[in-house]
Amino acid sequence: MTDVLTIDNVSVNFGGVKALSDVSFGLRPAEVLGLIGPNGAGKTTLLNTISGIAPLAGGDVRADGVSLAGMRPFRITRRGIARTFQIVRPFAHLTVAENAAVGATFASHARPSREEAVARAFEALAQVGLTAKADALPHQLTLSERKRLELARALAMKPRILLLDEVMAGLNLAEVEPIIELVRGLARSGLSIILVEHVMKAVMSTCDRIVVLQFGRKIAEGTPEQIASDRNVIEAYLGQRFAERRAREAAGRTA
Amino acid sequence: MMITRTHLALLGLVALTLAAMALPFLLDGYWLRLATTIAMFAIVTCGLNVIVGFAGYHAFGNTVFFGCGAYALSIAMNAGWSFSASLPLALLAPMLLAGLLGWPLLRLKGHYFAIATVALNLAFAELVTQAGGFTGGANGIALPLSDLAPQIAYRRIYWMMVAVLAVCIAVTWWLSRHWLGTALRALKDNESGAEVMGIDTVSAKILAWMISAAMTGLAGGIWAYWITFIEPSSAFDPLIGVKAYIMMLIGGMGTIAGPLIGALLLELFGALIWAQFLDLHRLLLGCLIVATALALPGGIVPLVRRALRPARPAR
Ligand SMILES: Nc1ncnc2c1ncn2[C@@H]1O[C@H](COP(=O)(O)OP(=O)(O)OP(=O)(O)O)[C@@H](O)[C@H]1O
Ligand SMILES: [Mg+2]
Repeated sequence: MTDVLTIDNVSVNFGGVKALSDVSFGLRPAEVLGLIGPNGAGKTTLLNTISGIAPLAGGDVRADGVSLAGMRPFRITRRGIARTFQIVRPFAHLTVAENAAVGATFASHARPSREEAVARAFEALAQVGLTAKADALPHQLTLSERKRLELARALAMKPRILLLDEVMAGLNLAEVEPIIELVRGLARSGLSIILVEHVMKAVMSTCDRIVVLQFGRKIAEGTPEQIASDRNVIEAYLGQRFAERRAREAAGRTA
Repeated sequence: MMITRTHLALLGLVALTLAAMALPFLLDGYWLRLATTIAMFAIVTCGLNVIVGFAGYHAFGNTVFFGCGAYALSIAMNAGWSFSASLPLALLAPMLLAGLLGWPLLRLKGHYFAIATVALNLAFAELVTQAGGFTGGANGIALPLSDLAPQIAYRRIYWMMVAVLAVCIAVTWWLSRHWLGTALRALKDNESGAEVMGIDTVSAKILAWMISAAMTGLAGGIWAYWITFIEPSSAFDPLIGVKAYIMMLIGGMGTIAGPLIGALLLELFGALIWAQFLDLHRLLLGCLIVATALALPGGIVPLVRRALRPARPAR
């Protein structure tokens, strides 16, 4: 199975700060790939690199074998790569429906008709349960609704690859459930998804595979089960002493 | 339903244009001059509205296109071209200039872009002054006089201004419904967000500035023909842009009728105050502007819209 998206030795610098160092992994067709790591690990930066708003200092990002390095963000989007932003940024003066229609209108090279764009926008709003708020302005939405609008804008683009940056952060469990369902459903329908998330329950139950970043480096990659028992990961999240104790316990059991 | 509203809007515009066209038969010289000035400033404000009101790029120096249009027409006419053959140049030259300069300048954000356009306007005034020869340099250019009786010539000029204004309003209305208008409103709110949603923001901004330049340049061209003598200090007068800015703010940024309403109000008030208080008119006008800005931050059109449709969210 060839990867739809290849992250190849990616490095990104901000001034003197190395936000990412030699990160490599691949996104497979129709999978949900979790991207986790402590605050400041470089998760958002990696998504920014893929969507072309953070310049590469080294390495390459390829979609279907085509390098995205140096490509303007709108061209990357039109290759079928949509994303959400951790800090939601709807167009403040456009209604909820118009916000989604922007995604439907501009995300492909062949611009759809107005009616088709509006239809697609409403389809996306229905998917996230925002139809009732179609005529509202973004500032009239709750946090949960704004997060879902962010998702709807991306879905209206009908992408092949979807990059989700903490769409569940700040939501309660009842609000998280339907989004997990939606993400799983999207993957089943063929979308390849990178899911950046701090909500562990969501990550473990949604993802096929997980990549872990710490201080801009990849420290682990594997299935949720492998990641849950990975020493480096436990260390990164819970501290070194806890990891050593877990390792001693594990050694004691096998001995 | 959409179609009836579209038809109604077009019908309204045509009716208004025809009514405005009938005015010269009722007005004497002074009022006709004022009406021509209002139409001219409404065009310039329409042009400003496209780049500022829609795209959010504060082109303080948009007057450069007014001067560019005025000079393009004057130079062509002095080279023996007829007025009707020269007028398209007043549209094309500024448009070309905006297309060429938009590429580097529209990469600048916020104040940097605003200041760059001011510098551009000053640079062009200086360039025309220094060039001499066919631009007339600091001495300016006199245009060939028309054979028509002045009264008839002034009427025709007024009609032209009104016709061009009607087209500008129609273009603004078209823009508000076209994908380009959506792209501009989106990038005004959040440019990098718009880009990531697939909008070619650079092209959208350049197109907007070209449309803006075409409108402004046409006004400059007709103006030059009207006053028959132009010089760098009058054709590139930064006050033209300042006035248009105030008119746009009074009428309502990014609205369709705003530029016309703003131009109408400011020029009429200006004429009134001018007549009553010759010495104080600038001061009074200034106070009026500040008061309007404080009382109506969004301009008159959004206010009226809110009053008519209190339940709907204002845009
Ligand atoms: N535009 C920027 N300019 C300078 N430094 C930046 C910029 N964006 C990110 N950084 C730095 O890069 C590092 C990685 O940040 P990033 O936002 O990618 O982390 P993250 O994993 O998304 O964290 P979080 O979980 O808090 O969202 C941090 O040290 C951050 O301060
Ligand atoms: Mg982040």
